[in-house]
Amino acid sequence: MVPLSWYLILAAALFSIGLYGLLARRNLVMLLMSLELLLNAVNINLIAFSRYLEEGQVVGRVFALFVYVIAAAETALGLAIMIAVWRTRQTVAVDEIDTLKG
Amino acid sequence: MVWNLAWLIPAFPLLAFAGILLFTQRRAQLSHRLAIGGIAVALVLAQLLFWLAVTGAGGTPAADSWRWLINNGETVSLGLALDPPALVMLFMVPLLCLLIFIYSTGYMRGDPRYGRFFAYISLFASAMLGVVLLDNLLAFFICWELMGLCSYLLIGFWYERPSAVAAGLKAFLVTKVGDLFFFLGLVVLYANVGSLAYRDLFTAETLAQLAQPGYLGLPVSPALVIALLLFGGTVGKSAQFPLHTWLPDAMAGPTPVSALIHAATMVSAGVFLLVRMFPLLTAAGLPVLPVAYIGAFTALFGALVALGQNDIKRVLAFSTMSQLGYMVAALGLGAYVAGFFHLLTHAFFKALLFLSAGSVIHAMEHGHQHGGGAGEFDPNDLLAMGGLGRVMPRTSVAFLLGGLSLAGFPLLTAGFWSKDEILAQVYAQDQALFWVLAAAALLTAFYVARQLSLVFLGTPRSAAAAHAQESERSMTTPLLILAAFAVALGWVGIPEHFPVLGGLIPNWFHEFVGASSASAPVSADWQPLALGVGAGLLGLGLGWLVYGWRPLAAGALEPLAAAMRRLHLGWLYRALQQGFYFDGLYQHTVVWATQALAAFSARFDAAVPDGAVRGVAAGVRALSGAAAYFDERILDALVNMWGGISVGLGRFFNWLDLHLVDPLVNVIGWFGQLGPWATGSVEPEVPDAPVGPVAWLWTRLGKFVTALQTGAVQDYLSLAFFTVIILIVAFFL
Amino acid sequence: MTLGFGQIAFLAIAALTVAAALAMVLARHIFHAILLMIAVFVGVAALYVLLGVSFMAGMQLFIYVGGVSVLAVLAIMVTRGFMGDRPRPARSTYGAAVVAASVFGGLTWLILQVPWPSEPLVPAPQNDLAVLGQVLVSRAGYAVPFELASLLLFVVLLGALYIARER
Repeated sequence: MVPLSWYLILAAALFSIGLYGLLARRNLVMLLMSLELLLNAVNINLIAFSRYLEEGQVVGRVFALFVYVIAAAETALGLAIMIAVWRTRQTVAVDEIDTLKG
Repeated sequence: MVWNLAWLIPAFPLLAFAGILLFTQRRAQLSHRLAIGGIAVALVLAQLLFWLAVTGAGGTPAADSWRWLINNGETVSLGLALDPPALVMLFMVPLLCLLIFIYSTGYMRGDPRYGRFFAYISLFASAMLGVVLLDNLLAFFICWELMGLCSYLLIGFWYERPSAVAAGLKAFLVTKVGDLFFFLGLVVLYANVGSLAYRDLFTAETLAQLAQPGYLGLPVSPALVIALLLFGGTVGKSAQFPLHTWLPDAMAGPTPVSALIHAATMVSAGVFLLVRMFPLLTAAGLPVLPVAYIGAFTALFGALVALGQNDIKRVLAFSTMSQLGYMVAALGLGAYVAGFFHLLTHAFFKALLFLSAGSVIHAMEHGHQHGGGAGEFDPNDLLAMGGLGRVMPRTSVAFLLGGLSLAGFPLLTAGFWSKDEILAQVYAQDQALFWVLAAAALLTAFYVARQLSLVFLGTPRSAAAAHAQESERSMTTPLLILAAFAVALGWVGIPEHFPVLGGLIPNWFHEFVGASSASAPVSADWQPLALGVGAGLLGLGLGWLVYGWRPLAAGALEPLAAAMRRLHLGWLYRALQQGFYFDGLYQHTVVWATQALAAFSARFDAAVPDGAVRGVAAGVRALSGAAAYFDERILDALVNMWGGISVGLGRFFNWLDLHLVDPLVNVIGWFGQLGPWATGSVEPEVPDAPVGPVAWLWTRLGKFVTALQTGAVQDYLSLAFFTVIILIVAFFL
Repeated sequence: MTLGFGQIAFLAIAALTVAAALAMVLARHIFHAILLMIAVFVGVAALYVLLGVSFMAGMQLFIYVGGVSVLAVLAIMVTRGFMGDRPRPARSTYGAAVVAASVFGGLTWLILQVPWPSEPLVPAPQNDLAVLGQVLVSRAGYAVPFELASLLLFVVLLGALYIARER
């Protein structure tokens, strides 16, 4: 059978790839999508732990369900903010949205 | 096990559909190659399995099942039912599909949506094969609905024409009424048996249990109720009265579609349902009179209305309706083998007739363009054709053979053998219905002769017909292949009691199919044979006399119309042409009522639910108004009071500050002079005076920190993660 | 270690998912990136099926493929004209790659330090969905967080509508 460590390493890989996307892309939508990758990696971790270590498998899956809720909510809100930013500044490149500069 | 190959048969056209839709829609050649490839593979596999089964070489046909729906430990399996009816359909369906696909490459040449056409007909072929093969009524229903979808898409294929769009919608909605009854039948069946799979349904115990009268306290058995409800689906899909109005309008689609869907396969699926459910019909008690009566009525009705049609495809549409009525009547009376045999032969000769008609239509359109025609032109108009037999030899031979088969020309055509067997079986059971069907046979032969004469005999009656020419090989070759079947296919089912010829060659069809189910005993009277042959020949003769002996001239009145008007029956002729006004009837009753209900519902919805929502919103607004009042009058008053107190306190502190704190500050201020020196804010006398040490340090630090604040969120994030990493490393060291 | 069917399946799905994720963060065209993201989600759903939690796989498909991906497509439709992505200065992408690689390395090293079990604790139960449902709505379970989550969604809905409304 598949050892737990494989799932964890896969989740770590997805997490790092999402992290790279988060730090290296200019388009705000790309950032939000990389955030989704991060959250998916977390979910894989939770489910895998729940499956392998927990009797009854309840807590891990409930936790993952709530992560889904939060992820969806955060994506919706992030995209709404992005649309608002697009309207005022006509750009969604994060390195051009630097009002906090200085 | 070789029978598992049967799973691949519907799979290949389905893959072709997906492939064309996703990848090759824009490439015409590649699309038709993919479609034809898919159906060709299906054909090879189907023929292989058919011949293996017929010769008995592969053992008993049985394919593996697949666990489909799993519900808490119970599983519903989906498998293939490879019984003789399915195998016979497997012989017919892929073969017809392949020939029609090849025909379509010629007919649809140059169409802008060529690729999509082939995608749709591939999907349709896959759905039809699914209907034939799958052994679960729910899967049957799914594929049945899929076929309805393809029918809708294909009838309205040329969606720039509003008539085509309307016809597609009409076909879909009218058959949907039938499908509703079908679904109710499934529900009742499931409630009584607990399963929708054939192997659970067709056991002796289940059938005996269903045949017990007393369902819901009524003196009918569940089997009869279920059979009639399922028959509702057949009424819709096979265009039986009263759900027949969609079939003539469906001719607005391209002719290959009419041939494939509305002649050979989809409408036959309704009859195939009855064939599959024949044990249920037997349990319900043969003869099932409603089924037989509706079938016979439709047979006569369709033949009558076909007489008054002047559109080459509408004649064939009503003819299809009529022939399906024959099959339904046969099955209703228990003539299982005869009805199924007619299904098989009808598929071939009707497809042949439609494809030939398409060839004629193409020739007319071609003639119209090249004959310099202009203005309104209907290429389907029989009254504008004529004399095409001279310029279109292959098409006319094919059409002739198909027409003779439809009319039941004795001995030499397939239609004769199957129709004769139905007539013989019906004669033995119910004389009244026999006469109805015989009359329909006479009318059928008459309108066949009418159509043949109007199209091919005489001289061209319009510029288009005069400039027509034979169609290309990709269209005429399938015609000739189908014509061969239309002639020869009947010989696999020669009954043994037939005078002289019976018994010379075995009745392979009866042996293969009849063994699987009990059906009515074959009668050996000569009367039905003679009457059937007589009706057919008489009809052909009369039709030739009226239309062919002195062929119609250009601009002349249609002989039947003229004759009926002279007999003061012009109103009857108009009724005939309009299909006895059923379209209008339905429009003014069912459609009007539905639209009225919809309008009422819209008004009700705007008034009541929306009114409730508006009421809630008004309530919320009132509440917020009250809250605002509260805030303004009460809370703000409190705040103002605080304001007053704060002012008083402020004045007190001011006095304190002025008289106590300021002297203190002045003392400290003297010491504070050191500060400005250190921070460099003492105005320098010289512009380049050195800045104080603290100030210099602070400024450097500030510049460094400011440089960190790039404003780009990603830099902040990188910094954060970098810090995290450092912390992790530090934690573990 | 002999490769059983489950392990081969895992390796195949994992390889596809990671490849899709890599292609997604490196994609030139943002629409391709969204399609690859959908591929990643489907891969993760397949992993959940492999883990035996088919309900979570279904939820994954519903919420991510059916919801979030559609949202993302709508968002790039609204902000059209910015489909491409001029690459960042190489200096900062290298920095990001370094950070990401070191995070991965650190996590993997951490993971390998612990002797995890290589068999799941119990075989996939047959009727676990009812248990999950009961836990979510029972007072002794997670009813309060459940209600709070719905409240959160409501607030987010209002907030998103307010932020993104036409002015």
